[in-house]
Amino acid sequence: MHCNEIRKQLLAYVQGELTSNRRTMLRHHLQQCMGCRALLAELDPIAAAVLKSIETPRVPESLKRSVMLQARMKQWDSAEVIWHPILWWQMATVTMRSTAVLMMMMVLGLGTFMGMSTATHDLSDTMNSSPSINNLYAFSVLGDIPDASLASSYLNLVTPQVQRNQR
Amino acid sequence: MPEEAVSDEELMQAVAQGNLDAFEQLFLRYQSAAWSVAYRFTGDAAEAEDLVSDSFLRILDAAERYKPTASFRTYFYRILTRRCIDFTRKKRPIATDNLPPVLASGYSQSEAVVHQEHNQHIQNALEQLSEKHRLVVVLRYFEGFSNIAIAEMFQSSPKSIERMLARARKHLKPLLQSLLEED
Repeated sequence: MHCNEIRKQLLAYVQGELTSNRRTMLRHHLQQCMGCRALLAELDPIAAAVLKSIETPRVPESLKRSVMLQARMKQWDSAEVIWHPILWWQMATVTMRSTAVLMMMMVLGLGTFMGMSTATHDLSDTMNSSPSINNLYAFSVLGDIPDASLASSYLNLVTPQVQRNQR
Repeated sequence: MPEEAVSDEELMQAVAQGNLDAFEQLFLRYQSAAWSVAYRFTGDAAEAEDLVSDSFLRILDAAERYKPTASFRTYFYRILTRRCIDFTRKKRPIATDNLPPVLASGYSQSEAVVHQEHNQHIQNALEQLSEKHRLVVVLRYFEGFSNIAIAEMFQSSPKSIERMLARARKHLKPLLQSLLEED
């Protein structure tokens, strides 16, 4: 840039009214040109003085790494803050929720199937060994209960006297 | 081109949705400016790094509350300047005796030594100012902001900024006189 052009822009420079690119070009010229710098010193001595050391050190390489790491940690922390004892599942994605529901249905289905299968098996054994459906002692699950236990007392209550004597 | 096509305000709205890539874009756009202000204000590279980190993390925290009524640039500098002032209230006095070298390209070794002395001289002079005056001087003389822009950052009037600058100039002029006399 020519000195005349620079000098026309000195007032805008000291008033902070130049664009970033224009300001950089002007500073570059002022650092090289003693005449323009003298005019600047008349207009604003502080602006002329700071031109002696206008550059700042480069941004440290570690700054971005550090800020982004802290930002990620903050995001995790804030996720913990919004955890709710009842609505916690809303934090999960749709895929995660669907998978969880599917797994629960599979476990429930398998449990129901196995329960039905065992009950049918035990019942058929009971029916074969004794004609009375009231013979609860015939169920393998209740057969080994110890005497004087709570289960034993319950069975004594619900089983007819005759069957108790037979036992 | 595609990255620059997205405005700062749009990026900030994405940050509010938890988008860290948008936050990274904003960081890359403003890191140099933030670093420059913080470094000139504190005169210490490590403290400037803390200040810049803290300011960006404040922006991340406030993203959900951000409303694009003013430009993001003004909003960003407002947070940064507030952090600078809070920082000096909490921290020990600035030690300007051991400034890191300003490694500008194109300097010979002897020029770099002279440049470092000037840097130290200017930083010592800035240290004599109150924190607000120092910040106004940094924003005007190093970052090239106008009174109106600085007033928006400080949520003050341009006249008030001009008064602060006038006082700062009066204080700085004798301290920087020797630099001017070198010419």
